Amino acid sequence: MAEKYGLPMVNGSSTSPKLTALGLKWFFRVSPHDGLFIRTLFDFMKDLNEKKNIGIETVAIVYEDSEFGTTSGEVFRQYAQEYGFDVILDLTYSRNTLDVESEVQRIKVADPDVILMASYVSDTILYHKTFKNMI
Amino acid sequence: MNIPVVANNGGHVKTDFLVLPKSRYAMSRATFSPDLFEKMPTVKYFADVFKARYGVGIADWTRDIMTFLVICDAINRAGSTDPEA
Repeated sequence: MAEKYGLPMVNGSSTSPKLTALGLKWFFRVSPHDGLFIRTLFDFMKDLNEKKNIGIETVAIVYEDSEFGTTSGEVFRQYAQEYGFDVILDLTYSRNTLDVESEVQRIKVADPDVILMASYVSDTILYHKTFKNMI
Repeated sequence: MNIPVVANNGGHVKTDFLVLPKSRYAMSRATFSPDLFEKMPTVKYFADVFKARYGVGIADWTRDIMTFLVICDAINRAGSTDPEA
């Protein structure tokens, strides 16, 4: 729409790196994107390993299936490889889901050292309730 | 639950999730934290002024105020609200 009508669109909180890589003329973003944000998560885990020696080796990446989640998933995978973490489960789900028992069962079986998540509100709450009941 | 969740923002920083009985193992990146008050006094100043004016504290969504400021600055510099300017 912004492109069609030549109206500047200034975005404050959408963080998919793709948005500013499309070459749009009227789209501007004032927030950092997930390429930067997710790097800080990996720096944090690396610091924990180096300074506290907690031994994170394996991660599960869990993300919803819209633009935010899928690009976060891509960035998770990219940095996991770069920082030397083993992705033992790569799991995407519909953000409107009402039941994540089978997903949580897969996480439980995979038993990662850390779960990396990109989720919206209702699904976050659902996951944590299910974690509490099942793991 | 004894597997930590390290989250990329989203639902993990929203009030609806945060008011629930806490998961002991969830953490998230966020664009705002009161921890910044010590490191960056300007953030505390902004938070105090915002709360005095609007009655609510600033949170992760406050970054959207930046869009408004950027638009205002752009209009002022252009001297016009015409997109072409």
